[in-house]
Amino acid sequence: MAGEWKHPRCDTEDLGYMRPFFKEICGAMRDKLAMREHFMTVRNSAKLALAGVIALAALTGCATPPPASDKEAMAAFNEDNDPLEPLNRYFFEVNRGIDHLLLRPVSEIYRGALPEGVRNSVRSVVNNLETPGIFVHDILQGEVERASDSFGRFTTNTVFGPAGLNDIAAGDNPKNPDAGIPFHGEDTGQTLAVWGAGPGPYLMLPFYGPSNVRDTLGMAINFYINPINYIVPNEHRTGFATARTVVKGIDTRSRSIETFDEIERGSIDFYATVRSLYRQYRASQIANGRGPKNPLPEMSEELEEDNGAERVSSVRK
Amino acid sequence: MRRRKFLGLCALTLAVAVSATDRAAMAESRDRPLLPGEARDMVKALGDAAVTMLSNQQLSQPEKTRRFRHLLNQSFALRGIARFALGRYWRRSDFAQRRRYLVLFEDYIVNSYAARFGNYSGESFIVVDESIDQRGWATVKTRIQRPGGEPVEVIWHLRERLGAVRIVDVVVEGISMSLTQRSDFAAAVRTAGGDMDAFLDTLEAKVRKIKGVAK
Repeated sequence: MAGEWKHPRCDTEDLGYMRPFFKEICGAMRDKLAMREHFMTVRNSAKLALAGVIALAALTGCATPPPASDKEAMAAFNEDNDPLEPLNRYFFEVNRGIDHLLLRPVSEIYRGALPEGVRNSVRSVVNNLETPGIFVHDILQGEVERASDSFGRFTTNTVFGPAGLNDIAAGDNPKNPDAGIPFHGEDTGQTLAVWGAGPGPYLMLPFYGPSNVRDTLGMAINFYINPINYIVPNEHRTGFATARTVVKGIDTRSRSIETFDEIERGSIDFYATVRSLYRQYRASQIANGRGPKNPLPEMSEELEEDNGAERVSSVRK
Repeated sequence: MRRRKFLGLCALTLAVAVSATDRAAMAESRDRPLLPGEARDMVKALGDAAVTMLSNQQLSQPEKTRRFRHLLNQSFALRGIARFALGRYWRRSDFAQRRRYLVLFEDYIVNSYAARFGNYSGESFIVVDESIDQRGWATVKTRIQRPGGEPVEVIWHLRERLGAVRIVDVVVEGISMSLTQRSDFAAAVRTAGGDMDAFLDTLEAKVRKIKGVAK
């Protein structure tokens, strides 16, 4: 096993004058091994998950494309980009079950038990720990201004927060919300998109929720991007990252209980609505708020030729 | 005889000229670019009216719903949005189905929002800026400030058509309401096997269910 790697001289006390040097080397080697072990675990679980997904996909089958002659139906099918729809719908129901039994009740307890100030601190600390990683992504995307925002936010909130407990960099002034530097997120999926990677088919991941091939890949890589993960002692690294994800998940869920209820109540096909929301949400995140002025280019045409509607209304009168 | 022919030619030319100018005039009336400030003022007025209505404790829920329906019809290109939301299935449906759909769509939107009236907790509405694109459509950026919460960015798209300035889409934090509605309806029609009447029955049942919550 990789974890049992030992240099013959690492554990001996008899290092002589080379002792500090070897200590350094041995420490670095252990670090490297821990990272490798984490990678192996990720790879093994990914392999297992992939095998499971393939087996389930074979059971549930793929979405049937419409006949090629129906161009509009074909365009809609391609726009959905969801060839694994039956499987995704299955996992969507599984996730709803998990949410109903676990995530939502826990989020409600979290929201009910802790005052708002404490919950804001929780979010602020988690966000602050993500910020070094976000800074790296800002740089990778060539976003100089946003990188300097992330840098400023991290230093300010870490030193004066303190330890990120208060998001003072955002400035708490409702009269002038433009005064501070608000938090912004980035992740590997977004960086890959900026570099030109397409989203690939839509995926509904068990536990994690809506995603696509690019963002799933990004999620697996993201752990290695955040410098914070390298500062933490290697034996706590994975646990630390997982704890952050769990806390962030509960905090985010607790802030969207009513919103999600409303979306679910209002939609006829909740799965399709969530799919559309995820796609739009990611597109707007990737564009960093500089998205196209008009998000509905095809809408002008639709609105233009609504003579039929006009006629119907005159019939009504 | 020749004179008659000449007259006929004249009439024809005149008819062509008239119809040409007529068409030009129509095209103009369809695409009048918005003037600076026009859309901004409209969104501001709508936001203020909504806040006044929502914060009025004296109004009963049915009265609020009635006022909201009025505001919606006054400010939104509701029929255009309804048609967009149905996408390609609009052209496949007959007049009776369209008529039923348009009535249901309005009820659906009104009641979906009416169910949320109770959630109002002193939010304020700030118009940030406005821009007009080459087509003459306006984009108005606004911010809804929740007391003690993070502000929500809402972008309104407006256009002029047949003499009226109307909102065609609302984008909340990057999410287009019209587009989301369209995805939902497209999937619902597909689940109904492309059968418009079956879809309309589902929509009607949904409206009834939401109405129950709103009361």
